[in-house]
Order: sequence, then C-alpha cells, then structure tokens
Amino acid sequence: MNKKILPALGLLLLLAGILSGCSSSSIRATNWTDLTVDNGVVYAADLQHVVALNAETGEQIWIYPRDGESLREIFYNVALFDGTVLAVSFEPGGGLPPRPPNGVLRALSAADGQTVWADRVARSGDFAAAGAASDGLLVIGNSNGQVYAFRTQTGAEAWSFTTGGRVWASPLILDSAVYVASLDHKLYAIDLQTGQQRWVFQADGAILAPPLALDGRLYIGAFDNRVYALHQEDGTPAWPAPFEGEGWFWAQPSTDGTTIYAADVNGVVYALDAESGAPRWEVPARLEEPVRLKPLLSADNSFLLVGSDLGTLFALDAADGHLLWSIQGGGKQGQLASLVIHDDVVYLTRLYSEHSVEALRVSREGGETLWQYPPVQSE
Amino acid sequence: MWDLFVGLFIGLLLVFYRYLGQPLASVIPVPGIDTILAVVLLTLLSRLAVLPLTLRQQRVSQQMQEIQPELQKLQKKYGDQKEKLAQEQMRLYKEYGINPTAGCLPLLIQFPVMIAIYQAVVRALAVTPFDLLHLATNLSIFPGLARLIPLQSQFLWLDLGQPDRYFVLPVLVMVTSWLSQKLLTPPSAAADERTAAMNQQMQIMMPLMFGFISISYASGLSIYFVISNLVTILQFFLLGQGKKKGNQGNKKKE
Repeated sequence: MNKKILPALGLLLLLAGILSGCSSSSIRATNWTDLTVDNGVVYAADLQHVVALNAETGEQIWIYPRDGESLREIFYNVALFDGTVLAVSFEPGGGLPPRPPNGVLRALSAADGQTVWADRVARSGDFAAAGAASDGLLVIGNSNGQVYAFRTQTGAEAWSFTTGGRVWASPLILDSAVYVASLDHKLYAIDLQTGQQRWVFQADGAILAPPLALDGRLYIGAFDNRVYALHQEDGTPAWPAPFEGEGWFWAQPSTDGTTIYAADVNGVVYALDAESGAPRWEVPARLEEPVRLKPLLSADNSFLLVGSDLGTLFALDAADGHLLWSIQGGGKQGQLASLVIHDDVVYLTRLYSEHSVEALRVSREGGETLWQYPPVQSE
Repeated sequence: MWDLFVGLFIGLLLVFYRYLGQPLASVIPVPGIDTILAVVLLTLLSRLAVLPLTLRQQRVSQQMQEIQPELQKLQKKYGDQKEKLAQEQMRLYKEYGINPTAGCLPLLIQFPVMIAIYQAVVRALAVTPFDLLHLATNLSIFPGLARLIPLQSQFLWLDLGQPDRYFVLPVLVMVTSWLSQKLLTPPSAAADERTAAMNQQMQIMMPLMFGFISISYASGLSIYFVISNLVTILQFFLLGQGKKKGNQGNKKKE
C-alpha cells in the first residue's frame, strides 16, 4: 500500500496547483477592464492601475496607485461623478485562514488622482461593473446579489437592495429610479432615494447589461436569446412580442432614436424598429466572432462599430448591416475589454495586449491608430 | 479537447438540473436545491462510470492484504538485498495474479474527472464574467438548456461558487475522507512497522489535504468530495469488505 502514498500525495498537490489556476484565490483577471472619457481626459483601468490620459495625445496625467505602491487588488472599472473618479477593484480571497474575496471602491480626484473618501469601501463579492451616480448617491451592484447606494461625498452606505442573483450590470439611473439587471433573470426598478422596489420584470434568462432608455421605454437583452421593450413606468411589455435572436444577448443595445441595434454573443447583429421590434435589415450581420460589448454608433449615425472578443473591430453600415471594414486585433491576446466612442475617436482597452489603452480615429472608410498607452518604446 | 470534456459535464449538469432538480425544487422550495441535486447526480454518475476500476482497486487491495504474511516473510528473508526482495515480491504478485499498479488507475482516472466537474460547476454557476463568456461560445450543442445558465448558486448558507465560510463542508470532507481512507487501508498488524507508520500518516495527511482544498475552493467541489467519499464507504460495505476487515481485526486480537 505504501507505494500508493507518494503518487496520491503528488496528485493532490497537482490538483491544488491546477485548481488554483481556476479559482478566485490567486491574482488573475476575472473580468474585463473599463474606461470612460470626459472633458478631454480618458480614465481607464488596466488591471494594475487606474490612469488618467490626455484624450488627444495619450499622455499620462496621473496614475493610481502611484509608482512603487503595491496593492493586492485588480482594478477593473471606472466611473465619473462630481469631478470624482470611482476606482473599482477586486481583492481576491484565499490564504490561511481564508479571507473572503472583496469588491473595493475608492473615490479619486479626477484632477490629480488623490483619494477623496477617507477610507476605501469594501464589500464581500465583486463589483463587476461600474456604478452610476445621481442626486448625491452612487449606486452599484455586486456579485453577492446586493445593490448598494453610497453617499458620493463620504462613501457612507445609504441603502442596499437584495436581488436573487449576481449583479454584473451597471445600474441605469433615470427620473429618480434605478434600473438594475440581475442574473436572477429580473430587471428591478428601485426608488433612488429610498431603495424600495417599484416594479420588477422577469425574463426567461439572466440579464447582464443595463437597459437602454428611449422615449419612455427600456430595451433590454437577456440570456433567453430575446430583446425586450418595456414601459419605463411599470415594466409592462411595449412590443407585441419580444424579439428572438440566435444567442445570448450580453451587451446593452444602442439606438439612433428610431432603431435599436443589438448584438448577441454568437456575433450576430440585429437592427430592430424601436416602435414594433420588427427587423429593419433584410438579414442580420454575421461577424462569426463572439460579441460581448455594446455596439456603438458613429457620431453621424451612419455606421456601427462592433468589438469582438477576439479583438477585432468591425464597422457595419447602419442602413443595411453590410460590412464596411474590420481591423484584426490579434485574437485572444488582443481581446477587447471595453469600447467607447467620442466624436470620431474610438477609445478601447485590451486585456492582455502590450498596450492596454488605444485611441483610433474612425470613419466609414477605416480606422487609424492615434496613440497607444503605454506608448511604444523607441529604440 | 479539454473544453469538450468539460462541456459534456456542463451538459449533464444542465440536464440533471432541468429535468430532476427543477421538479424537486417545485416540491421542496429551497433555493439551490436544484443545483445541489444536479451536482450530486453528476458525482454519482462519474463514480458509476469508474465503478469497474474501483472494484478492481478494491480487489487488488484485498489481495494485497491476503498476501501480507508472505510479503513479511520475504522482507525478513531478503531485507538487506533490495534487488532480490523486489524480484521475489514480483514473483509473488505474479503467482497470485496481482497487478500492484492497478490500484492507482482509478485515482488517475478520477483526477481529470474531478477537475472537469469542478470547472463545469464553476462555469455553470457563472462565478466570474470570464467563466460565463467562455461558456457562452461552447453551449450551442445544448440550445434548449443554455438559458438555464447561470444555475442558482445559493443553497442555505452556501454560495456554491465560493468556499464555505462556516467550514461545515470542509469538516464533512475531512471526516468522510478519513473514514473512507481508514476503511480502505489494510489493518496495520498485517503489515510491517514502516508500512503501518506510513499508512497512519496517510490517514491523517489525505483528509487534511482534502480539507485544505475544500477551504480554498468552491463549495461545489466539496460537495463532490463528500458524495464521492460516501459512495466509497457505501461501496466498501456493500461489497462485504467491511465484514472481511472485521474478521481480520478479530484474528489480530486472537
């Protein structure tokens, strides 16, 4: 029997090693990085840091944590409110005795990156998406199923709301109501000031993205392969029937005011009439690459930009969905984490690339790189 | 290839969840009971798949116990001649038709199964957004079931995608693995002192290692460990080895 001892112990150690590669107890990306653009400045998270960059040149304005300062956290998300940058990070658990994984929030001055709140705010679970702020309250969802409202001035908790599943979507705040999508298949409408539920809508699959608001309606995609249109006031259906796609709808839809553009994870892009939900393109556009990011409309609404999980940026004609151009992104290594359009410039983060943030000038004819961060080192 | 293997387990998990777990949850409205049932059934199925191998392992273990007196004689006779001792041991194994390495095979087979079940559970529970997107592109073979993702991860005090923060499952894992280890280890009186000491160490080390893994990883894995250990214990008694072991213990007293 003793011959079995060493192989058995060896296998157990190997098992622990392999599992550690799949668990949340080691530092690794479990989510995508995010960016936001405001007033000529790009605020981006790149796993290790939050950086503020000049939107025109890509030059670094400030960085948090400062060079040499090491925090055992992964920085994913950023949000802006009242001249403040919300830095969202994840502090993995593990160790002995085991620590629970925490989502961590910090408020940084948008001007210089100095901390604004006296302390960081930590909650068990992961703040997988950035929050939204209005009327002095910052609202953010957590993987522990809670939605929290914190005072923007101090970070003190104002209220919390419990959903039945993980909350990975940023909330949408509109007319004193907070709309929160949860993996429990539900979209909740919550009173911003009190945290009380106003109404709830149940889909047949998980909901991962915030709804899109247009003319008193909310448009939302779900993991039941459907796009729903709901009346903002009471959550009742606004279309005769939801639109049926081919795959999970992960991303928030976009709109030009009359058409709803939605992409499913199989890389199929649809254009739907906002009033009726009827398809507007003869055939949907098939990109053959997984899509998780929201499609973006160009400033003149003439073309649609879609980023794939393999790092490719596609430009589609908004009128009929035909492919105008695409830029390859290097496969999994260059996978797009976030995509934002501002006038004719697209800002994006890539998760594993040598350059975590990029800016491209785009038109119907193509796209050209303006800058990359960190910049290319000259020989 | 590995993704396909894990995808198979995810598919089975979804089938159990949809067709057995959800009906059970409608009768017993405890959140997460559907997921627990699916994980338990998947574990039982994986154990059933390797049953012929584990039976062989137990038979080898039993045969090894039976030839222990003869092995000890060889040990005494050739204790200082390692090569000769090995040759004689091999001759003895051959004479009794024992393949000593056959005992390790079930462990080797169960190892990837264990990892695949862990990954299937973690992905189906959508512990992180990354896990979910990875899954999204691999679920086209289960079109009707894909909308069930993510499965309910809360069960009583547990988040099945996270370690048990109250340590109930790790303790259960340690107790059941100690018990199964103890039952499967031959009585120490029948072995030489060195083997007995190593067996005793093993009986402590293995449950501690499993306990450590349970503390560190998703509770879904701990459910697999507990059910798997209970199956081993049940199998041991159903196959009558408990009785045989009892008899050997009695002989030792005599």
